[in-house]
Amino acid sequence: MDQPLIELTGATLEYAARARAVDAVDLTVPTGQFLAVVGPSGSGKTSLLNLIGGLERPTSGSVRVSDLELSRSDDRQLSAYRSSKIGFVFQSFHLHPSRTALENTSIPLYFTSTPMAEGLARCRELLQRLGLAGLEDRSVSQLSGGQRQRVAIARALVNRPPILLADEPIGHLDGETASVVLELLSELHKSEQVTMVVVTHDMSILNVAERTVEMAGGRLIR
Amino acid sequence: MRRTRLTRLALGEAGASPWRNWPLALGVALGVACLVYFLSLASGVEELLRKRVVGSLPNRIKVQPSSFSVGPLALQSSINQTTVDKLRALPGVTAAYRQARLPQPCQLYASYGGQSVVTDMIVEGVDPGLVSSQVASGRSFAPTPSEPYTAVFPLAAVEIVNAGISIHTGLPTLTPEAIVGRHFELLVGTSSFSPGQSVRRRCVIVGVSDQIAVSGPALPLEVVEQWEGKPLTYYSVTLEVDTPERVEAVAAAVEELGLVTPGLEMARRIATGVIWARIALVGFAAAILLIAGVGISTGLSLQVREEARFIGLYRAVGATQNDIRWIYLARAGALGLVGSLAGLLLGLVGGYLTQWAVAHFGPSGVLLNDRLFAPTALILVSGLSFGVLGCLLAGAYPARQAARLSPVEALRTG
Repeated sequence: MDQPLIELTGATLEYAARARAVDAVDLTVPTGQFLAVVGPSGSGKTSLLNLIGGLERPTSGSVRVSDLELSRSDDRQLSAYRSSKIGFVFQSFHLHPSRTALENTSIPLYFTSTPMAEGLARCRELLQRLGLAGLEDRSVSQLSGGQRQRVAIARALVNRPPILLADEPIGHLDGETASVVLELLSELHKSEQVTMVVVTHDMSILNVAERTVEMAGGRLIR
Repeated sequence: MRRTRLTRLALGEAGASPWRNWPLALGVALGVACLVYFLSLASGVEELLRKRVVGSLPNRIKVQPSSFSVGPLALQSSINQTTVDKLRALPGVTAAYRQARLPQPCQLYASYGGQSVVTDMIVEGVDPGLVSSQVASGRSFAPTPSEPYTAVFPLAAVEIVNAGISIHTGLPTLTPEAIVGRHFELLVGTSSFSPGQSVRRRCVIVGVSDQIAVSGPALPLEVVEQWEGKPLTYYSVTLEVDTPERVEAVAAAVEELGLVTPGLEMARRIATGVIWARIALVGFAAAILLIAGVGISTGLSLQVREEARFIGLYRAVGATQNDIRWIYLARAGALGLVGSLAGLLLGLVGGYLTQWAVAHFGPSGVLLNDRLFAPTALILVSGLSFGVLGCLLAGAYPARQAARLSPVEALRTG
């Protein structure tokens, strides 16, 4: 088995006055794996993703990615980690409606030292590869749901992260568009050699994921 | 480099929703405009009053004997030559110019705008050095043994003629250039109130001065003493001090001799009055800026709430708390800069409009220079700094709010 890239040991995330969102999860994800996390709403999938993405620190246990122990990292280290190691894709895209596809894709560049010209060239290349050639300068408010999600995927990949975390990436898309996006993620996984953790309650993910884990009540049950 | 990029991101966002952002800068523009305009106005008025009272030469002090009142009567003594010598000997004093009134009544005869003018006047004799810098080029105020006698005319009298007599009679406005070289006659020994034997003396105007009394023309002291036939006592002595900074020290020494310096005293009162006026006006402008600052703080706080999901996104793609803080501070700074620049422009326009209005509708000769009410570089820099720093201060709270947002909570708002 490959060296684990992501390693959670007894990771627990507890909110004040609430039940445990993530409860003593042990999970390892090797480099290059396409992992699907499934489960019903409220089962802790998104919280697990937030822990891996360094958006939250575990209340107890550890979350280690490469050699970085996230539970003991400060704001600057976590920000640098998110910038260089993680690409996020969200269910509701989180795109600036008044900005163009290219401008939205380039947002992560503002928080890195990558030369802007080089970064913008990469944005254009990604948009082209994701089937958005010619739409770079179009406002995202003029794009369809599937096109917007592709802009969001391009934005997640612009800093060449080794890990892509997708939270319900097809949740807001119709069946046909959802299949296209899933196929795209699968292709990217192969071509970019990206480790993927995709959270969904849509079972069609099983067709493309290499491994599936299931959550319920904050715990991994399978 | 990172800060430059973040600033570009912040400015791009502000530019993407101009109607949400730039109205917030209006209050700053108004506050800075008031600040710049009021400070310029106060400086101009101060300079105007100071020069009216002290004169255009800041290293001079007018010394007069102290006066006292008995009921409705004001009694004033005079200064003799011994006191003048004591004044000349004071440290820092480089010259003492005497002024004496000719005790005899006088009537002035002149031709003005094609009409004959006859008026009672009080003639005074002055040491030539008192007005030498205001004598017209190519002319001399040196005592002459025969007619025409050289004379200087009081600037204030020219202004009175222009502000009153010229308006009511339709006679042309007087200018210093127009009256230099003109002749007039003095009937020495008679006036409307005290008719008597008189001697006719022909004089020529060689300059216009703000250093002499408004009551009539001044001639060289030596000439006036010759007309009177005996030495005169002086109602005023003007001291010339080596530097303007030393004027206060010399004034203190003058007061120890039992004499007074009314112009300086008035200048001190004016300075105090202007300081209070300036404090009140700056306070008013500061209140407008404070209200604008509250508006910016509230507006940016609202934007932080509205843009929470984008803040969450920035955090997810690698922004630190400091980056988020910088983005909102840069936005506040940009609002401050745009508002302040607009305010400077408004203040400048206001200053020049005031200058123009005073020059065109005010009394002639009021303006001492053509930039009296125009903001100085110091006032402009102060206005800009005040506006930008005020906005940065106003943006500090929303910037802190934005930086402290939990990325997960912020993303959930989408």
